[in-house]
Amino acid sequence: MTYGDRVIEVRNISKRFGDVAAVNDLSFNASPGRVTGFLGPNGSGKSTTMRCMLGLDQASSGTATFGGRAYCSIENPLFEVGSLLDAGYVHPGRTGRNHLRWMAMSNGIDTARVDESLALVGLTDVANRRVKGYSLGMRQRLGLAGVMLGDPGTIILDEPANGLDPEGIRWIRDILTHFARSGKTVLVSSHLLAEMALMADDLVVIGRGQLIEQCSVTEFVDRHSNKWTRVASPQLESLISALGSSADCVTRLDNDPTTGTPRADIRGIEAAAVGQAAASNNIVLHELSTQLDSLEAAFLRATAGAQEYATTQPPAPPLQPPVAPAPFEPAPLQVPFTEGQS
Amino acid sequence: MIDLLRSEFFKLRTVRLNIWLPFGAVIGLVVITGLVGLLASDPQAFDNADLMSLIGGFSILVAMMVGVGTSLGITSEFAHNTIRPTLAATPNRPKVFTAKAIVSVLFGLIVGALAVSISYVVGSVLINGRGASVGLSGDDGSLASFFGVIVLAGLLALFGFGLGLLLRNGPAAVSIIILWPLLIEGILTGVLSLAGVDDPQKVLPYSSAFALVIPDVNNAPGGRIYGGVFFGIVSLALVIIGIVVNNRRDV
Repeated sequence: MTYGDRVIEVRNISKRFGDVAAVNDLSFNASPGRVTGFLGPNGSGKSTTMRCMLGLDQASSGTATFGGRAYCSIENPLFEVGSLLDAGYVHPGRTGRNHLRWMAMSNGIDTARVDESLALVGLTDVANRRVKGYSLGMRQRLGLAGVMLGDPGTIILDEPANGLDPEGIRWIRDILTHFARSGKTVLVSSHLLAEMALMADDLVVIGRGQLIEQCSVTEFVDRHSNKWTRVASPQLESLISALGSSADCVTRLDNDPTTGTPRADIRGIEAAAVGQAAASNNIVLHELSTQLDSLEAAFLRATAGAQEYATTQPPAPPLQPPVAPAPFEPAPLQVPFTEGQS
Repeated sequence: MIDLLRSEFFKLRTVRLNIWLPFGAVIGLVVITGLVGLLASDPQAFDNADLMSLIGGFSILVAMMVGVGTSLGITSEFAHNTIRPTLAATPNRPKVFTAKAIVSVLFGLIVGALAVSISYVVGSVLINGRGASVGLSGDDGSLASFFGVIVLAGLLALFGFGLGLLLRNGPAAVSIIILWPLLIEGILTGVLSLAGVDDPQKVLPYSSAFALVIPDVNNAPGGRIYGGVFFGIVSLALVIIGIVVNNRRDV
């Protein structure tokens, strides 16, 4: 199999459910040797697109090909495309090993590979337990074992980190990066943007079923994030004066907690220009760096108009904290005094 | 196709309900036959046709449980969404559903063969031990009835699978498998009789199929072959419609 056989090409895919267009004329590529992150807000059409790519949903129009071939025309796809759309798609009464065994049998994969895959995902000890006794994280691992059964060149995963613990999340990041470095094509959707920032090389960002952007992670963050310069200097005020009007906006920060050096964020001027001004004025700098928004901030900015289910800001807290009611104290029992009583 | 058949048969036998339902019915049939063999008041009067009438009559329940099992086999794929990894592993849908249908029929034939063989052996040993002389004979229809039990189980397995594939809903498919002969065809028999149709059971597939397991087919309109072929065509039609409908459906 060549690298060209592993290119995923999605061309003009549309999918309608009645009057609702879940996916609208979506086109993108995923390249071998790279992890392509598939991002979009809830309801943006990521899962529907993946189902259409695998022929599970019938696209209203458009095509998806794997190395130039439609998924439905691949005779034994587990050798070429490994997919995991939902870890819950397992019969609860079947054991983990038996779930993998039927998959292996269907594509003529040696059943010895089942135990290898189980060992790879760390489920050997529970392989003979029924899946209904698995945690969500264990089901994710079982699903990933199924993906690895045929050692495919292309891997498609929908939210694979759902339900995994931190060790599991790190494991999946490492294994997907390893797959990509070994030349496989990896297309993965996830809501964990911090993980995506660490794992993905390229991004396909969609909103309301349409492509918003396809580019590398670096380009995406560059394009959609704010950039500013952070400085720390014992002569901070002199530096700000030296910069004069070239610095748009200066935000003074708390002093550095370890050295006590005053710090500030400066917008509208590059770090190089700040360094030049400091050198010209013999100003000592303890820190000079360019700051960028996170992928999350860039993603939220890029998809701001494409949120299907936008939330509102939580209400501002009341100025005065509510006062707890005074504990109930029953009035002393009034016993009417009557003459003659002792 | 062989890989797919192996895989589907493995799937069918690795879910307990699919096994316990029909095999529980087999055990029930063996127990009933054994009790009759042990407790029959006049064992010497028992002949081949009597034993096969007993086994054939109760084997209808076994065959129905086989149909319930195969319908639950396919509907549970849709209920648990395991149809998605199934079709992701083998995207050729007609091939997958054909393999499932073949496996269902084979499963029905195996259960039917076990049910009739074990219960016949148990029944004949017990009743012969009490002075009877029972054996299989082609003359009185007992041999044809013996094989008819196996065929009926295979056909009901196909029928159950076809219904399940078409409806994709376990409770609905199971209800129809059980209520069709007991209620729907009962009502239709009455309606058709009132409408002046001769031998109304001849146009009712389930009732016609029961001729397969009756030693004396004189009471069955159309006969054994007709009943089996008619029910087989209806079952096959259900499967074909199910494949056509599911070939383009989202799963």
